[in-house]
Amino acid sequence: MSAESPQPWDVVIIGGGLSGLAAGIRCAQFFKRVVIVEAHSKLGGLNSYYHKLDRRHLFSNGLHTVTNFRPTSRRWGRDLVMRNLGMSWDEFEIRPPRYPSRISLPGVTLAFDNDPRVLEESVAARFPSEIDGFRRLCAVVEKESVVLQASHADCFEFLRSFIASPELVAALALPILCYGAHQEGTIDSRLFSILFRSLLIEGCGSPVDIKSMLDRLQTRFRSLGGELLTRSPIASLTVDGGRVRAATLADGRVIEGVRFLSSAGLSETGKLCGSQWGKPGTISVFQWIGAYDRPLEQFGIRDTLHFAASRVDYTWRIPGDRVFSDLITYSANDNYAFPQPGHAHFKISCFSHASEWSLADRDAYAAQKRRYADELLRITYGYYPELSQARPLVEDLFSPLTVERYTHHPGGTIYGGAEKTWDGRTALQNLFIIGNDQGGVGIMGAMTSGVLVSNLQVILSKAG
Amino acid sequence: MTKDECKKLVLDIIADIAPDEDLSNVKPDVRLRDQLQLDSMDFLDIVMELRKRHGIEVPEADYLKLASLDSSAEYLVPKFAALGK
Ligand SMILES: Cc1cc2nc3c(=O)[nH]c(=O)nc-3n(C[C@H](O)[C@H](O)[C@H](O)COP(=O)(O)OP(=O)(O)OC[C@H]3O[C@@H](n4cnc5c(N)ncnc54)[C@H](O)[C@@H]3O)c2cc1C
Repeated sequence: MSAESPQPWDVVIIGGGLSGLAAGIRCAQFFKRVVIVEAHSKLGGLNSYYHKLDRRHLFSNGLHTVTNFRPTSRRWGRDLVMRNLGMSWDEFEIRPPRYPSRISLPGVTLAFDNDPRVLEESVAARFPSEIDGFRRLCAVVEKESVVLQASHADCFEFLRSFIASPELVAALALPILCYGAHQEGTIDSRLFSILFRSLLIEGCGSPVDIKSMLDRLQTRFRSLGGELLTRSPIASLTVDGGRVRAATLADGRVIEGVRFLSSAGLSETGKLCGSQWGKPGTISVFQWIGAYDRPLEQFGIRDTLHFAASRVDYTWRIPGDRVFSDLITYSANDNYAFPQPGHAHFKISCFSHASEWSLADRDAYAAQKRRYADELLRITYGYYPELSQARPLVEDLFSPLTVERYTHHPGGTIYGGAEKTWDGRTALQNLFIIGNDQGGVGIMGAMTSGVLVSNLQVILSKAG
Repeated sequence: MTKDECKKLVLDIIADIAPDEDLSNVKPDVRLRDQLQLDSMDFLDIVMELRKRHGIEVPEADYLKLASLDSSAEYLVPKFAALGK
């Protein structure tokens, strides 16, 4: 079967990231001819991998953690995704953390772990008068998170309706904003609920690297007869009478299809159709990765994830032209319970705007990366003093421009545009949005999005 | 395959996809959605399982035929017969 065969594909999926792979697998269970078209040579999109040091030393650019570790409902999270993919969670060999994770602001430290009681006890100890409100919040989050639509309420107001202490509001919002807030200022309370439940209630885990996970998804997709085209950037979508008829690749190949699912982003997909949709996002990331020759715990790193704010009254905004070091995310890749020790990679990230960066002058670009990294490391040694004595085997730095280059997301946005489609629909009858811009953020969020939109808009509906 | 056998195999599938449901009193003539906590996506799972376990293809246009146990049996008996079962 070749991509140019005259018969149109039943489903054409744009992008081989986590939402595209999940959608591909789900659709291939119901349709004969499903194709995933990916611009790059590797799968994964925002969660991909590369080699450095030597061919065996693999780096996952994202993969701080995989959420929804504990199943709490067959209609949500881990069980929903696995059942729809026809796969088992065990196949992915996702290991739980060996150390709890931390939320820290001046004067406030909370711990969380896969057992939700860890966070509860930590809240009760530091904020005894807030514990009832916190428990009510957790109960409501579970209900809110199952609905597939926006609620438009501001997540800070939502939090304040349960919790009086500004410190606790700031502490609980911090990991959620860092983990998936797609716009500055605030996010919708429903998206907040989804992320809160995924990360703080259901807990986290990690595979050894993201490649193992992508390989399994790819194998499953192919075993169902799905076709995968890599190194195949789509240059445009041909629209005809309110429908997409075909995708044209940069090299001129034409792929005709009955239904299209796009993980390229709402505004990016609009552009492919010659239209203006949505609102591009601005949140991108600067990340430092250090690879060490010893387990990170030996440098006193006894957190798995650590979300740190330098002030309690932080705002969720990226200040122009300086390191956004108010809010930092740490992830210690080898602090998960792998049977064999994993690569000791420590990741430090802060948020950044692509507009602060330019490739025009290569030396200036390199110097700016160095400056950001040094600033981040300086702050980091305050939390982990022993790390200042350690020499990494290798360091790697990436900026919003790196993300842009490898994911095709303008501005290197990591959580998608400022507008979500929620039901996945677009102005065109047979084109749907999956992934970040449908509201599916993160690895599990993107996969959930792929299966839900496939079910509701493609398989169960008359689309096509 | 008799109608009763067809109803039984549909119930077996539901028992696996919705283990928390009490299936002892399912009324065959009432829509499954009206008596059990099943949503449209659960019906997709029934479709998948019919194919996987029994080689029965249910095209999208026929999904509504799986609404109740009676209508499922009505629909599945000739399908099984066509497969020589
Ligand atoms: C530094 C970093 C750390 C992260 N850490 C975590 C984490 O710890 N845990 C977590 O759960 N998530 C993490 N993420 C999550 C991530 O933000 C996403 O939410 C998720 O991976 C999005 O998946 P997606 O399928 O929606 O989109 P993408 O991964 O962006 O997939 C879209 C794909 O479409 C392709 N594409 C785009 N345009 C075209 C075109 N025209 N033609 C063909 N192909 C095209 C792209 O190349 C890409 O592969 C991280 C991301 C980054 C950048």
